[in-house]
Amino acid sequence: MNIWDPVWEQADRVALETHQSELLREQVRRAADRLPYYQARMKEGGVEAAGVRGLDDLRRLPFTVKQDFMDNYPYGMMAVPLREVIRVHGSSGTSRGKSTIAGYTRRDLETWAELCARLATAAGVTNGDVAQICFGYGLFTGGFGLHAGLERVGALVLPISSGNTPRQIQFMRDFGTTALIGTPTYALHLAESAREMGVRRDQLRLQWGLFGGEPWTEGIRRQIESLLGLAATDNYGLSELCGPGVSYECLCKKGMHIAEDHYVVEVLDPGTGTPVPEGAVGELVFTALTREATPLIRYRTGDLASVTREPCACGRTLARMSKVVGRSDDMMVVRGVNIFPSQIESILLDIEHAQPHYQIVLTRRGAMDHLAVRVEVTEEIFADEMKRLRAVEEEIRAALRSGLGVEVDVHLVEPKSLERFTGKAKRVFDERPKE
Amino acid sequence: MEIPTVTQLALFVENRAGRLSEVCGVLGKAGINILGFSIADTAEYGIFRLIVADAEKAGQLLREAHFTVARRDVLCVDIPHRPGGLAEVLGLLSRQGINVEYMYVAARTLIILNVESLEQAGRLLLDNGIALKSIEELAG
Repeated sequence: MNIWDPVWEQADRVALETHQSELLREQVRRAADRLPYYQARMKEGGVEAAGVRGLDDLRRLPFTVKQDFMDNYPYGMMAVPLREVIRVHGSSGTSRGKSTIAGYTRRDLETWAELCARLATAAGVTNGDVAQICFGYGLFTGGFGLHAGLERVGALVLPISSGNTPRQIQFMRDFGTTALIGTPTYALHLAESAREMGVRRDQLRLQWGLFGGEPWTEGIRRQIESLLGLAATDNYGLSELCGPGVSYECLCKKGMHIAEDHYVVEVLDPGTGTPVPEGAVGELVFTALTREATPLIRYRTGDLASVTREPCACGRTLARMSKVVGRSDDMMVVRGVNIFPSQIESILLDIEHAQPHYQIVLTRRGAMDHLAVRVEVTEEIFADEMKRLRAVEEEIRAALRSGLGVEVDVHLVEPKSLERFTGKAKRVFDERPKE
Repeated sequence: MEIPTVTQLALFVENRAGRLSEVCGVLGKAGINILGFSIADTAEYGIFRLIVADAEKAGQLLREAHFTVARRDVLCVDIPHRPGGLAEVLGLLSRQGINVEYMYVAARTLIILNVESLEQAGRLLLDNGIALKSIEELAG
């Protein structure tokens, strides 16, 4: 297994942390000097930039949150003169009409390309590969980020962008695409469409799948791998932090290596803001150590995951984060029980042995929250005898009840009756009245 | 001797206005004749079982129309057309301990049977002079 940057990806942890401490000192000073909003926050918190000597002081520093991007839209998060900013990217979603916009200096783009080259290499890509990028090219970071990284590795890049599925499949076949880059949802959609178009697996030469941009489960991974005949790896990033390349899986597929020479990660209890024990799930909080245009100190991602510093079989020493198991703000609280859509997905996968298409509908009946799951009936679970179909329905209900700890209504619905998205899938419909 | 069977298609259909007519529309447009059907339903959904002249093509068309389709071989039994005829056929099966999962009328004296043991049931009926029909005879 190749490693793009052995110096940092296999760094000694003591050396790494020394490096992080040095960068943190500088970054906090820059943020305090050049970002009025952060200066004010440090003052409120009674923290002096000069007093920050290293990682040990990290916990004393104030958080940055998504709202800061809204409040300081569009240029207020930039810590360099605008002539040094040569590009902006932003989140795919918008909040009250304002995107979260982050800037990039020339060096930021250079760093980002390096990180994406690490990502691509870890996922198996070399200069012999033909890489088809089905991420959108635009404000969203997926397209441009992977594009730069894959070019740096030397792959032949097909910048086909998102959409036009029949053409995607034709390109895959005609160009002998070996690496597919996009969201896992779209990869599944491509696989389904290829089958419908009568394209056989042996007509494709896919080897590597670099999927990210949304949470997905091990079950979805198995499904994509068996349908497309490739090794599927996950990667993670937020446009606020640069985009893809913040962390990435190697072919061991045992968690995503965090580029710790550029980002310090903390895992905190979303309620109290205190660290959770190593390996426990909490909210990921990143400090961007090397971003010039948009330095971020202790940025609360809202993503829930766990982090381990145990060495990986691939030889990288960088800490690994689990898949994102939920959002601190997407977490559903149903009758006092915390529920994440990913839990429901993995329970359905166990029963269906196939990618489940489902929706979660939250309603209130009287004073009680009510959770209903709508599940598309696939040929795997369909039966022509009512008692067997009812048994499947009951099996799903019982599995969800025991897995989630609350009563769940299960509704079987016809296939393809739930909306499909080529981007991020909307799974949760919270129809409870807002307080 | 080969036991004649017919192919049944079963569809998952939500209880929504117009769904059954959509199914029949798909088949009608393709010129596929429906020779028998039954519906088992709950408040939310139903299982629509169909015997059609061309099950292969019908199954494909319905899948393309995004229906979940299950195929199964069933018996098409010609019931003696006299009082006690049906009782006689069912009695033959029950005495051998063969459970009937479900049955429905296809046409006149022809009924569709889904039994636990298709081979055993078919042979038993044939040995007792009960006719089994092929899809060609049913369509004829």
